[in-house]
Amino acid sequence: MTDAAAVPARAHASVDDALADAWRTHWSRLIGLLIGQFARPDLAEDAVSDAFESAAKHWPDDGIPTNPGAWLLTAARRRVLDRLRSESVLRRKEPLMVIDDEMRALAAAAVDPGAHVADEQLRLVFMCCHPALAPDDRVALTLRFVVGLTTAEIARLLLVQETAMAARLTRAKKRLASSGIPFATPPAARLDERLDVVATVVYLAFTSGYHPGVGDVPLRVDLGDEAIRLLRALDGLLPGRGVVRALLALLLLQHSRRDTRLDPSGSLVLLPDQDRSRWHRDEIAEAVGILRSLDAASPSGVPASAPDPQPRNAARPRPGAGASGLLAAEGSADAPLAGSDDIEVERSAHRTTALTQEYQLQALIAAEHATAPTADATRWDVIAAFYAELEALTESPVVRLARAVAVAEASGPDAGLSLLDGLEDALPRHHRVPAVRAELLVRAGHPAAAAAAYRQALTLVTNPTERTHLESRLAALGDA
Amino acid sequence: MRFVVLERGTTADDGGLAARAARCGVTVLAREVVRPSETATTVLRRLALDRPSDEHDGPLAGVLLLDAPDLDAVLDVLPDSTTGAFEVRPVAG
Repeated sequence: MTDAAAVPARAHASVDDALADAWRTHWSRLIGLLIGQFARPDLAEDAVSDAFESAAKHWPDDGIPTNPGAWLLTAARRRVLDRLRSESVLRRKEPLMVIDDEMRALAAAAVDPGAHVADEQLRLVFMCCHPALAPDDRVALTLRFVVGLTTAEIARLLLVQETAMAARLTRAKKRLASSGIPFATPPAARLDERLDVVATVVYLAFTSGYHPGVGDVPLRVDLGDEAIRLLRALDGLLPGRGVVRALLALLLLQHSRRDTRLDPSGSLVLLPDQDRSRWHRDEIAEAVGILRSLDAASPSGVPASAPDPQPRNAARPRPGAGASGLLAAEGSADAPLAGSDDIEVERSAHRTTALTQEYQLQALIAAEHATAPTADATRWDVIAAFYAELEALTESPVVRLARAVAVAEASGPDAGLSLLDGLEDALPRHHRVPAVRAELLVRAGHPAAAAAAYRQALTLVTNPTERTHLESRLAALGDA
Repeated sequence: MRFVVLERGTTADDGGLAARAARCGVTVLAREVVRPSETATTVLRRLALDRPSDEHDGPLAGVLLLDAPDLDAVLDVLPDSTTGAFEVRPVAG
């Protein structure tokens, strides 16, 4: 297949660039248009995949087409029609997704995926995040259909075997076609509750990139970039939705620290040790701006104002603050809360605004860290108040633990210790409960009890960076 | 498309289904309340849903046959029952 007006073949590197660019720009549109036209998610995925493979084979020789999107759409359509033909020979009748006639017509008439004719991308997102699908399937389908990761990449991110992920995706695609799930945007009455599900999926996709071990093998794409891009697209297509804006603020703040999360050897760097000059200030400022507009839009929602985007002058330094490394890594500070296994990510239809508030509070806490010029200048009293709100909202023991840290920083170790009562029962396998208790016991002047707590934490800890930290804290006690 | 809905642990009255169906473009082709479990014959079937219902959801109490544009419309008409569960499946073919 050649395009007569194609640019002559250039260096190999720019074909790769053109392919990567086309993938980033057109993947989800192509999938959406083909599902819209043919109502077969399985065929759409295979065909678009094949089209990109074909492009990789032909563009180096034939040149990069003047309209790569149109080239890919034509190639993909051809593949679907071939498959449908062979299926009809076998007299196999596969179930189809439910799609309205207008969408079908628009999709069939489209020649250029970049020229917006329909809302296929929005429908695609809502389809992948449909509540009738298993939560794990929603994340996998979104990563495959919307972001465009390969099955192998998704398997690695979600910590499953590739064969298991392939089987899961196959089942999920069959379910999409056969269970009556429509390829549609939900009606206005359902939009908020369905957006909650979409937001949860996007957050899971974002945090899946934070697992230890995932950093060893780089992905083609930064999931943080992709998640933020998707939220921006959603915000553009469905403006003013609180849950989308709040999550966007939260992800921008967490993503702003991406260059300082790992040291050169790939180990986790705890929040107070990160080089704040390498945080992305423009993203922080954008997030703070979003939080301010959210605050103004819903005065009955979250109290307390968003912080000043400009870093304040350092407050009086606190003695021993450097030893709080393990404490200050809590909660949303650098391991996103909702990525934890302990947080329930399924939200019932009746709490549509609760998720928005939750993301908003997490973002406000992250903004406090992001705008503090140094770790010592962190406004722990403000953070503690936000955590109290968040705990009341979620009743989560993980949030309580983070709150205990903040309260200890703001009001002293005894105040923090009292909040830890009973937390081991709620989080029996969490090393951070005894670890935080140990740290606070040291500050409160009880070294023997602290040593016992450190030892207990060491029986539970899995992360090597945190293990080293605990061991050195325990050793320091012995020297005192 | 058509759907079969199995009702588990629900009551004999229709929970406002007929009124909602009229509003949502869904036709209730039939609704039957079944006799208690002592009169039943058991046939084992493999369910292929991500949220299948089972005996913990309540005893089988009824069957619905609906004609609806899609799954979302069916989900909209079913009562918000806190005592029962509904298993929804499209009719084959």
